[in-house]
Amino acid sequence: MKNFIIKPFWLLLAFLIFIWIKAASRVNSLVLPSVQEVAQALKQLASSGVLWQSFLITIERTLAAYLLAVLFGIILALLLYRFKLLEQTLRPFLTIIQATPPVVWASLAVVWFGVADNLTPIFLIFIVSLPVIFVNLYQGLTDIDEELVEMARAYSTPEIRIIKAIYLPSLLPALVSALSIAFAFAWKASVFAEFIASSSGIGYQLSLANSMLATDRLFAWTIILILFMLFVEYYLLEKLKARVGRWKNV
Amino acid sequence: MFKDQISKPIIELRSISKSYGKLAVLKEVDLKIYQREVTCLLGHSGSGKTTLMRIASSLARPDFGQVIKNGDPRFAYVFQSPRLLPWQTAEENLLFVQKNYGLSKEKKLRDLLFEIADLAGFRKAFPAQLSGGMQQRLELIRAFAVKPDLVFLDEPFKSLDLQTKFNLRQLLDVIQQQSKTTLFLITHDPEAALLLADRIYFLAKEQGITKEIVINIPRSSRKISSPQISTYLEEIIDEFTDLVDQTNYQLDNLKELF
Repeated sequence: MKNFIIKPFWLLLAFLIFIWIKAASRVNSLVLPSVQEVAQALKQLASSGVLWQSFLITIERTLAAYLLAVLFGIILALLLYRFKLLEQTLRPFLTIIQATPPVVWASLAVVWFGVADNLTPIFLIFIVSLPVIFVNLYQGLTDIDEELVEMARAYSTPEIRIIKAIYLPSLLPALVSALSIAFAFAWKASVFAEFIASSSGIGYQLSLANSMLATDRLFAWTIILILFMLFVEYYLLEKLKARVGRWKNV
Repeated sequence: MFKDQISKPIIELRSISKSYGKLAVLKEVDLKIYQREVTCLLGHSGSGKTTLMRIASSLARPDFGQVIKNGDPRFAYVFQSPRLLPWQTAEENLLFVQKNYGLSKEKKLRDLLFEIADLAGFRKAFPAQLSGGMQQRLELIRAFAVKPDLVFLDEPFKSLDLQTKFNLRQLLDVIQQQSKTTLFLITHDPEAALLLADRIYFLAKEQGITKEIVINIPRSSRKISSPQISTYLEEIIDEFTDLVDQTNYQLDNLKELF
């Protein structure tokens, strides 16, 4: 990870923690818990098993809905790219879905599915990430260099090799960026849905801490959420991006 | 050039017409490309040179007219701006087209092509790592990597600096001399045409081929300053100035409007 995060970042982070320590010593720990209190809460969550259990539940929901959105997003992008009429018909609806605030979807989900442990978060994640996948991928499709395709056809390249050697590599950067942006959306949507309409997962634990005014635990959970997102963004996705963009940043 | 070769066109275009919407680009154009010859197509911009080449090379269909091929010639292409796969190395770009003709084992041919194009050290480089001139040379040798019967070149020297242009022209000359591949070349540059071509066609807008020049001087002994070549050059310039005269006439009309 150290390859991706530069020195000034760590300096700034240290500075911010320093401010946190200083500020926490002056105010009530309900408003701003101290570093030690948050560390203590983290330790307690870990040792009681709640941390791991909730983390796994949230991850599972996020991944399930996210993968579903990826699959549908890819299929939609391919279909709408291929059939103009379909694009003209469905495109505005996708924009409408994207323009609707997540909180509306969450409220609707509660009405439709009740405080359902899995269904509400999965619905919300799906509806929030689907347009992101679609828009990025569709853009990638329209960006394919038709001149390269013509060149390949002129040299009698079989269609299957054109797909493998031109379409796929052209689409990969768009796909990676779609996966990356959509995952951030999915992760946040997941916690949000659990917060308002679930009885398990990190979001639920956050709402629990919130209602009990346990600000130290609120901080502890937030740190976990952020750390995981950083791990995905700066480690997993960077690895993928480095592979995909090998020919670009040489 | 021998008589029996002259008599055998590899491609023959018969009264080709093509329009885009209401805009007629080609009107009943006839043209022959002869085996082992270098044929140059000259003409002003907008005369339909590229369209004619695309029809000759089966990249586009004519509205009317016939394209007659002698046998099943293998075509190769050098596009105006290089069309290289950016995610494949220089060598992979050659392999990409070779595979389609079962030639991927022709390493010796690749070696030779990289050598004469002065790209031997760049086989593993991606196109983005190559200069514009190098990309253009790679584009050129890719065409020859498929052992083509006929190579179509669409203004390969356009927008190149003088030195790059000279190098590329020389490279093309060398490969053609060695392989005796038939070339069909579009160019704006009468000088390049006179130094390379066995046959020059002049395409005028809406008039078809207005001039055909056959140059019977061996390429190695051609010099732009030699009297014969100068005569040809004048002929070509005359063709271009005919067009300028038409434009001048229109300019006169324009003056009257002011």
